[in-house]
Amino acid sequence: MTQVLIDGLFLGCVYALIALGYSMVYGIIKLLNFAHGDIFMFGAMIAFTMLTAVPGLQSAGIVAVFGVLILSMFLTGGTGVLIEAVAYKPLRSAPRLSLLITAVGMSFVLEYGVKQFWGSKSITWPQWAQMGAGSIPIFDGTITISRLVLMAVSIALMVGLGFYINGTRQGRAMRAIALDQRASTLMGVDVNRTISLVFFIGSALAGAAGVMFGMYYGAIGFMMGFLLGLKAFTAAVIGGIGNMYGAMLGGLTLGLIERTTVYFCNGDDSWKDVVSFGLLILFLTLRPTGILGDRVVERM
Amino acid sequence: MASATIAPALKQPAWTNDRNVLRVLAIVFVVFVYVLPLIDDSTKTMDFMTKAMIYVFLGMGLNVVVGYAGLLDLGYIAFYAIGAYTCGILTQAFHIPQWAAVPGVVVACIIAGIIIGGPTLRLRSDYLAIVTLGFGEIIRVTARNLTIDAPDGSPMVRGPSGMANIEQWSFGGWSFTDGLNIGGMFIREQVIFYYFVTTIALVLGVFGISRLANGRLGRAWKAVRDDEDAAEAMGINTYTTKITAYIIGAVWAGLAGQLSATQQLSIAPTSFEFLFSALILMAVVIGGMGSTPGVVLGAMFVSLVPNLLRNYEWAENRYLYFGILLVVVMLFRPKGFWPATDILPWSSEKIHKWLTARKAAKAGKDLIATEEDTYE
Amino acid sequence: MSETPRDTLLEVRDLVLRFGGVVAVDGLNMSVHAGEIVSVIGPNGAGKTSAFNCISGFYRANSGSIRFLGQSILRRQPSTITKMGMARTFQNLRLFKEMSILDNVKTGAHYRMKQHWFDALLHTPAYGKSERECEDDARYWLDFVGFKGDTSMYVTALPYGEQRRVEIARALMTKPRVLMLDEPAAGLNHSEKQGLIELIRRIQALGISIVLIEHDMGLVMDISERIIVLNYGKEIADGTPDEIRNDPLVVEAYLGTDEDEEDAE
Repeated sequence: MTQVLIDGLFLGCVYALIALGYSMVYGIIKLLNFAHGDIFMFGAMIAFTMLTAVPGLQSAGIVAVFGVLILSMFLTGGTGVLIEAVAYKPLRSAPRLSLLITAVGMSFVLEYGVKQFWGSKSITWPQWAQMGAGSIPIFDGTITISRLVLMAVSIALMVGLGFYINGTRQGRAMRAIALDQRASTLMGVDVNRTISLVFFIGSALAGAAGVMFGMYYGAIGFMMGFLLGLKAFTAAVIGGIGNMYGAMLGGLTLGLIERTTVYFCNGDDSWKDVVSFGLLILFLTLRPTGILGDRVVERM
Repeated sequence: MASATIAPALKQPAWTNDRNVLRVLAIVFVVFVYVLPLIDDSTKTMDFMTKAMIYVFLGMGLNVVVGYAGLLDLGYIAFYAIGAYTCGILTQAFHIPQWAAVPGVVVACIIAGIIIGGPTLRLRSDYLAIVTLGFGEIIRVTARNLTIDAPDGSPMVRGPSGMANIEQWSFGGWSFTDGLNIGGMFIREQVIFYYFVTTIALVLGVFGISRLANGRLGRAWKAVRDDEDAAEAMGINTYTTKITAYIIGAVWAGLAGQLSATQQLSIAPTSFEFLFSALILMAVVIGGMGSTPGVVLGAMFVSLVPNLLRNYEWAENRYLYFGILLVVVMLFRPKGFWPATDILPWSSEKIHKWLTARKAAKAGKDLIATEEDTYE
Repeated sequence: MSETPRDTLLEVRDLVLRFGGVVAVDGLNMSVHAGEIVSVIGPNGAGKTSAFNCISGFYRANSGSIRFLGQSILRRQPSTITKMGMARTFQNLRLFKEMSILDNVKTGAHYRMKQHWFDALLHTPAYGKSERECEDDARYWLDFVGFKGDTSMYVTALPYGEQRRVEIARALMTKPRVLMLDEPAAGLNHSEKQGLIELIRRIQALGISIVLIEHDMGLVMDISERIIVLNYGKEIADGTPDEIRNDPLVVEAYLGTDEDEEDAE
């Protein structure tokens, strides 16, 4: 059972990192960014290319891996900003349906664009860049050191984001726009810049999650963002969409629930997705604002 | 008042504004699809044309949800799967003919539509997109893992292998498999099936849905799509209006699923993936949301493209192109190829404005004079 | 139900509406009698539109009571309230942009049309009859509001003033007892305003009560039989145009306190 808990928490960290991007973007422009899960996948892909294409990187070992992680975050962040600028910004005043459909289209472009360049086969992460196998026993389970490191990284990222949003001018601007875009404009907040920044941060976090995913699981593919993105969205809704801490809490909750489901199905993991999405529908029905979200009066 | 003077100037040239143009085009299309087997009844052509007609049927169903009611459904294929499985299970478990399973399919889709749409349609409409996406995945995973034995103990639904030996349509003692002899000309099963699907797709899909859209319910759908609050203020219960759109879409998809199951004579769970839902959505969006000719063309387009693209690599990469097309259409022609607001695709606003400008230039003084009258 | 001219159709008591910490409507009392024209005025942000939205069911009031034709409508849906006989227009034009002018107006008959969806599917005689009646009605009301253009056009092709007329025709199509107009004169030029005044009088002549939110004082003073003045979500005055014109509280609300003027009273 401890093992279930550990597995669940690890998975939850990956979900939470992706969910944060979903939640931040939804919070600020009320868009379900379907392409977000694919940014996660894209991050893994470019990290893979850097790891294999740059000669001599292997000798730098773990330092190189972290260098690649940071570089990938910048690149995915840039991709997010680019997508927003090209596809979403021109439609900001268009009907919501157009924006959602564009997001679906962007998701296709990313998935099948990646398929074009990286192929449709599952890609094996370079052995040396995968995390070592040393493990520490905890009660009746074990946790690999690599997991511990990756969890530490993701928690550090989330805490950093927390400080950023609550403690800086830019963070305050983001919260202001989320509350009232027009009023923020009138107060001199640069709305376009702030929205770009949100896309940058959200996409960078998803990119980080992608690299971590590759490092840990060792295999990546062009479609992996679809299901994981959907799960991360579920996590965001469970926690309370638009709420940062909600995204983290939802991610961890969903990770735990999923591993527990597999545990109770005696290791058969075919039903875990059904349980997750069932939960999504249940939450949207009974408590659409999630665990942490407040009931907001919607003004006309 | 202003309308009297400005309105005629904004009008398009008379013939582009004539619904008869649309009627003529519709007749040409109908004649074409019915005459086609006489020209080419090869197995390959019949196969992809039948598929194309099923896409048209599905597209028109989704058009109700997305085009008329303005709800984004990303798991539309779930209902298609439900329709396919329901007819398969009913015919095999109870040994009833295919037509007798139709009410079962309809009821199953209505129930599924209420379960999914009921709670989520009360929320902001963008939640529906994600819930339907999740629902689509639930159905796909369930289909892959579902095993049911027939009452006699033989395996019926076999998990990843789906279902086999689906009943062909039969009426009385006559089945499609028997073929048909008309005046010495033998029509084989596949061609009969093509005619059968085409007729249903045209009558129920194309004409049925466009009739619904022009009636009281259709107006309510469009009103809800354009402005939910204003629709409420008109005495339209927006929630029940949305749910009827969702359920009608679901039933149409279920029937399409039954048609598809009887075309393949088997059901494969792999065919119910998100990609298929997205493909139908693309058909509707690229063709023109809420536009009957647009959706028909859109559905033909997405289903026939792999056959038309000779180059294998192009056909393989079609989803990339579709994705780009989707974004480009939304950015530059959000009403699709054949906008619902225009009679013909090329009688678009730009031409419209250009004609107006030219007319205004010609009329010159007249228009200025009348405008001054308006603001006296 | 038939009523004598002074019967109360709509009665609002102690209505309170809060948005978080902001009290938009604070204990509003007002009533509307059969066949009268009532204006609701007040400075910007006085809670006029909020009160409107509460009455027509779009906002849930926090407390108080709203009775319409003797029934409480506090928890009713907007569509139900419309069916009971209260129609409204919106402050910013809210026409259905991708529908023709005729279809826009026809939506108003939605709840009273005798047409099932399979009538439309099969084009039964009931379909033909109901569509014909609905269209005749729609044309009647479009004519009534003075719209003379091509009704098959899309509403966005119309100039602003015409769109206002279509919106009023659409509201009249729901056969209201009470018609609530939210700033109908906003954005209209002088001659269009004259047309609007004349139109409102003709609607009143049909026995429909009219509640008006308006900023144009000339128009309000011209047609109102009674004026209710709101400030900070509270009713501060209720009376005939003449009474309102001379009410010190109203003057204060609009112009700020002025000691001299109070002394002069």
